Amino acid sequence: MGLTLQLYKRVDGFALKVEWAVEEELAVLFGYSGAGKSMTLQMIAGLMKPDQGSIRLGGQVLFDSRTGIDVPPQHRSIGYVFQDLALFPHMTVRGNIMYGANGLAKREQREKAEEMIEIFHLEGLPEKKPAEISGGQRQRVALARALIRQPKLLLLDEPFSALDHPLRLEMHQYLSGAARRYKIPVIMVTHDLNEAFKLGAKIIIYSEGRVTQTGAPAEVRDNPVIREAKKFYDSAE
Amino acid sequence: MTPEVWFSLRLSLQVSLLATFFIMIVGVAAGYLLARKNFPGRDLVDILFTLPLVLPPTVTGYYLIILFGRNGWLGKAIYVWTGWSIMFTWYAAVLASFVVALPLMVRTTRAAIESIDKNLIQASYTLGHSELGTAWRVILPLARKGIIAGTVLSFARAMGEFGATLMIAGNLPGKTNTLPLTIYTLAGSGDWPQAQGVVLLLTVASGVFLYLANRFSRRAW
Amino acid sequence: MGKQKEPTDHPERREVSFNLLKDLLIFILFTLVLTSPVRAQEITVSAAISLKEAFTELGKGFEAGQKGTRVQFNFGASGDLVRQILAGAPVDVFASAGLKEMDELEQKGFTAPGTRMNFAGNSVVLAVPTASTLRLEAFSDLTRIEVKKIAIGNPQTVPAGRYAEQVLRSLKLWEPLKDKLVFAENVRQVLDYVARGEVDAGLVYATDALTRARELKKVLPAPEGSHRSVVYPIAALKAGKNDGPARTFIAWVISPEGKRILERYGFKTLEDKK
Repeated sequence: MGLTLQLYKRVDGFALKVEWAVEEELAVLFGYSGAGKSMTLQMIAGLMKPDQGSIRLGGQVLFDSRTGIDVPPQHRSIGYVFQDLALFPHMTVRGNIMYGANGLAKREQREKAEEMIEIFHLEGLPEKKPAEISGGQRQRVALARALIRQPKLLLLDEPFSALDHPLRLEMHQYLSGAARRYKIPVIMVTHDLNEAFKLGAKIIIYSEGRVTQTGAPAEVRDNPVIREAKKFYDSAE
Repeated sequence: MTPEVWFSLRLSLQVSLLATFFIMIVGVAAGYLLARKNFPGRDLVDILFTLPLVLPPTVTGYYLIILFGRNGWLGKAIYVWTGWSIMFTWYAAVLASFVVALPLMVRTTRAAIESIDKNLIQASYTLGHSELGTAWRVILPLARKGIIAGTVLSFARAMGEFGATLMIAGNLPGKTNTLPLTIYTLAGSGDWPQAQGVVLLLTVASGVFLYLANRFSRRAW
Repeated sequence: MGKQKEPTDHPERREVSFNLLKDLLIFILFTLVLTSPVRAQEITVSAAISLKEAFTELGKGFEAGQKGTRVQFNFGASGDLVRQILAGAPVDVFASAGLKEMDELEQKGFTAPGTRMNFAGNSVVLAVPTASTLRLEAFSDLTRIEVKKIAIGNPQTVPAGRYAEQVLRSLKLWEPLKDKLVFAENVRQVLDYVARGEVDAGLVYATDALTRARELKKVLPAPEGSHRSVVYPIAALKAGKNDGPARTFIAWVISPEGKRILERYGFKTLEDKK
């Protein structure tokens, strides 16, 4: 029950043309800024419309330019963690998490929210506003909110880039745990090499709007983009 | 305070409150559409809504006469249908205040909504909420302070409306003479002491409204 | 990265900005000259708005006869004009549509002694829009239900409004008609309301009805004695710096030729006034 896509889009002189597929695994989109990774996520979620292509998730067609199918984002059953988390500042932690359970009865919403609060260790915080909790706690709220309705796919756009190392490791645990628990494809955009290699069962390398290689970490080690990044990392040490 | 001034005060409050009520409904809707929807002619619509803010009130009054005068484009039809004309009634004062103060509401609402992080709106969609649901639970609450500031400003502007009101509601004692019109009559007939009292009242009131509007505009949401 | 060139490094640029400054200066001087008071004599005449057409023609005749003197007119409701004069407006001659306004100026010492005189008279009439289907045989017909709105000048600031009130009160119609009354800021606005059909009827001067004869019809003259005679006084004002030309203008207004012009516009002149 995986994700298959072919996408083509032109914006302001930039052309994105990619084609890849993932199963129930944690895949990483890796590449430099502006390579088209975030754009890809936006199109998968239905927040941006491709010029041409198709997107299939678990047997359901989400988008197909040939038949004119374009399922709105509300109905794609996709969890999305934005780069800046996009937590609603005017709602409490519980409010934010419950907001993700739209469509269920109020009582069910509360129950599920309690469940998520437990899973993500957010006890004691449900009445607080996002501004009142720590960065790591905010991350967990964003994850909880995205997963409460058990989506068929989880997308993350550079979610941990603003965190310090220990927190990052902690979030990696939560993410892997979630991937295992829900058995869904997880697609994460990152430009952190170590993170990509550690988490990704599959790495999809983006460069200037194209995919230059996909494969397990060991397979892509010699890819020029990877080598370039590695050099940068090594020199930074 | 003479009975006439007392009447003017009550009338001004009545007119302004009613005008502000309609402004809230139309202004927020228009501000939302202008902020969120990109439709052909959007710039033109924005200009149309902003015009009464920039045009002299007498020009606005002129256009209102053309539309709603007894022989006006709309006024004639209304008169033929109902035998009633809005001219020289206090409803005309409400109309004048509505038209001149609406731009303030539209602009502040639009700005408030445009300043909301777009990611929040997108997040709401991915979490399964429709556009209407998102507008109700995310956009409007976050734009709340801007909307309140717009409301206060519109009310203040409505209280001070003179030019267009004079032209379509007239300055009829006991019927349409709002506070600004009363000041005009008092000053015009040389009754400066009375005029002074009313002027002081309006100045203080306007100052208070501005203060409130600023307080609300300063905070984030 | 080379050093940024400063404007002063470029002689051409310096010259351009100097030229611009020169042009700007010339432009300012030019504007000042154009807008500065004309060296020719000019008098300012504030007159009741019902005198607009008649006085405009009188003004042309005056300028033709007095080479080098120009007349600047300021028309409005007599009450508004008095406010302006009291507030210090530099007016040379004042002509109002009622004695009350001139009395106020005289009492407060604004008029030049010996220059005040009455020069014309008028009468009040009831007018309706041309398209009106109302049949009004007497003023009391105004109480009928088909008559929804009646325009008169604001009695506080407009002499025509004062006369209208007098008419209605003398006919015992003021109280019954009060709710239908619409006050206008000057008598020409009353005229406009009637001509545009915003109101069903209005009380204006007979002379006004003539100026928009196509858009309204004069229906009834105000009954004899229902209002104080409409008398137009004129006087030179002390505040004006042009006493000589001001007096000359007044003399022109009451001259036989001046009278003829006034009569042409429907005004009653001194010999005719009872």
